[in-house]
Amino acid sequence: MSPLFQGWLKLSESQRFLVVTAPVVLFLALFFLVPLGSILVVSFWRTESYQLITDWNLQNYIDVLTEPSYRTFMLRSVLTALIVSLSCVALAWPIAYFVIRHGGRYKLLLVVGLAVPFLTGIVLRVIALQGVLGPIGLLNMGLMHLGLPPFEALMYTKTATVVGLVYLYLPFVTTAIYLSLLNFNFRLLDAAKVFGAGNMRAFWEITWPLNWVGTVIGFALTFVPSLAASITPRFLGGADGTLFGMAMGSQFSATGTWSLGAAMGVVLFFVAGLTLFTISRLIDLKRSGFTGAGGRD
Amino acid sequence: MYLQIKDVSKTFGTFTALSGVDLSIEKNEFVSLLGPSGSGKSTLLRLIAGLEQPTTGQVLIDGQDVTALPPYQRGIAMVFQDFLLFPHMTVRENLLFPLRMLRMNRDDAEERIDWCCRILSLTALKDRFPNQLSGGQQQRVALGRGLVCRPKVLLLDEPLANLDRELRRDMEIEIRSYQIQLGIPFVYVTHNQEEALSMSDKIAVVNKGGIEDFAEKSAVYDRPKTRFIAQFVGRSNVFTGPVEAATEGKAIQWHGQRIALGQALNDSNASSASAYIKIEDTLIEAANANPSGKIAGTLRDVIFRGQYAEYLVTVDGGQEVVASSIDSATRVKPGDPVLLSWDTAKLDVFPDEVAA
Repeated sequence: MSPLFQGWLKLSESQRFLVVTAPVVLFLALFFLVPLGSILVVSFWRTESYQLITDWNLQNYIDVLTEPSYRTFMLRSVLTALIVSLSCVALAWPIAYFVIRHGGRYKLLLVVGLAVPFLTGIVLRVIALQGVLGPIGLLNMGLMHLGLPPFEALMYTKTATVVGLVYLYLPFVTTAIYLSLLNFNFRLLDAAKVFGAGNMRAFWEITWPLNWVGTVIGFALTFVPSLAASITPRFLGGADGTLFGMAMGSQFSATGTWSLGAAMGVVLFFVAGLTLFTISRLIDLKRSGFTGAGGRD
Repeated sequence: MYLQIKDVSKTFGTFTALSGVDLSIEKNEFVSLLGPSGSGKSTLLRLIAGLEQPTTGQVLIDGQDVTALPPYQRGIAMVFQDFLLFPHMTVRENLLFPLRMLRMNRDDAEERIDWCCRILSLTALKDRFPNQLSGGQQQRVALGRGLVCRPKVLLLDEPLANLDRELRRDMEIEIRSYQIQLGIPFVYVTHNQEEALSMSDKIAVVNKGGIEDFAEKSAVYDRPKTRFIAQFVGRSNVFTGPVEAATEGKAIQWHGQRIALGQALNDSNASSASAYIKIEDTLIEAANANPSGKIAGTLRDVIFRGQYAEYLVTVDGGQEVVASSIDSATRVKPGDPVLLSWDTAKLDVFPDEVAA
């Protein structure tokens, strides 16, 4: 027995717990809590000619909340995130359902296959989309080749941003719904049919509510990052497609107004948090079909 | 005939699950489909339910051809082996589900649910979710969901397989009593012959996609029509060997023993055959009795089963024969020499198929 293992055996239960959890706690503290705390602190400071000035004030928040353009950006971001997440859910459901029902032994492969574009990195993927949606991109070239007029306004529009984000997050949502369906007992549908439900009715009465949690998780996994999206709208969104995350990003680079950026970050954090909270209220674990939820009384 | 299955076949790809099945069930009958796993009995039930479509043939319920109808237009209900209660609904909501699908009005529905809860003692559990119930309680809810819409036929797919022994016995009695109360046919799929024998009026023995016999349960048990039934229903000793002429009728030469067959095989010229005798028809006594016509052996072990015991006897020749009897009635100990006998008329004899 190694001395390390002998030492481990001498530890009490609580000491062992400490040894196992300490690295995680340390990691989270160092790379999550500290940055988050500093953002919060900086958001109450002021920046002037690329210098942080440490006088405490609320001006950044007043700016973020009253400046019409920021409000527009935020509204646009929320709307974009909503459209993106709903589209993702709507697309992911049939994909996941098909894979589960007809994927056979290739199920896992098919789901992993969906994530293949991830291997190329975000920038390359966005640029590839530019190649498809651009003014002389694949789509328009195809249309012109067929003698049809090209889409004037496809690239550098809000639609392009939505398409880009859906493309980006679809694999997450599909995986979430896939995993949910993997644990779903499809024989329940036999029972529903015997007891009077047609196919559609059985879906809405049984399949949908029992996979609601997975769907909501998929939704949240898309909504939160879409809300803060900055790279995709910057490449695809065009001049009038500025989103909140993009505006926030520029505070830290182009304009050098870090404290305003920090305040925007805090606001974004709260909007995302509020959304997650609202979403969590939509889940009734007792009605999720999770065994163990609720328990015996 | 209330429920009729006419010449039904079902193939899945190249696999034939059922071929040429005919079955007619009366309105107040409790029928078991008894067979080993993979025999096609569950497929047959799913065909009656409408969860599968027959490749050929017809299903008629109450005179109506329902072959092309979806499950919910057939007026059937089903109880599943793993219950398949809707986990996101309470007991009450589970019971309400079939009524909701029928668009029954609220008051009538509540009345039905109350009736159902009363006969199944579920009233106290109405607001629980399935995962808060024990296996037996879930079983009762599954049964209730089957009965609540007053179906024309109730189909039960091994509904007791997941319950423990004691509960199973109670449920057997309950299920039988509901069937009598409601006066509708219950079609009960099981691989457990005790269940089939204790509950049913009639038993259809299913094997390899066909029905071997469909008859009163006592007939199936006492007079097996085929070799398969003789093997599958009840527990029997089997004697297989060449057939020879004996002083009276014929006999099987079995490992140096001569098994007299009485009147059996008189009209057959089979050269070899198998004779089955139920273990409870195999009588055992101490060796000091008159040995004529009996088989001698040595008691190897006694397995006590509660109300009766099984006697494992090694006969002279090395083979093993089992006899069962009430324990106290037979005063023999392991190692004792014993004699085995039976009523020749109780033997079920099947000529062996001649190997081509």
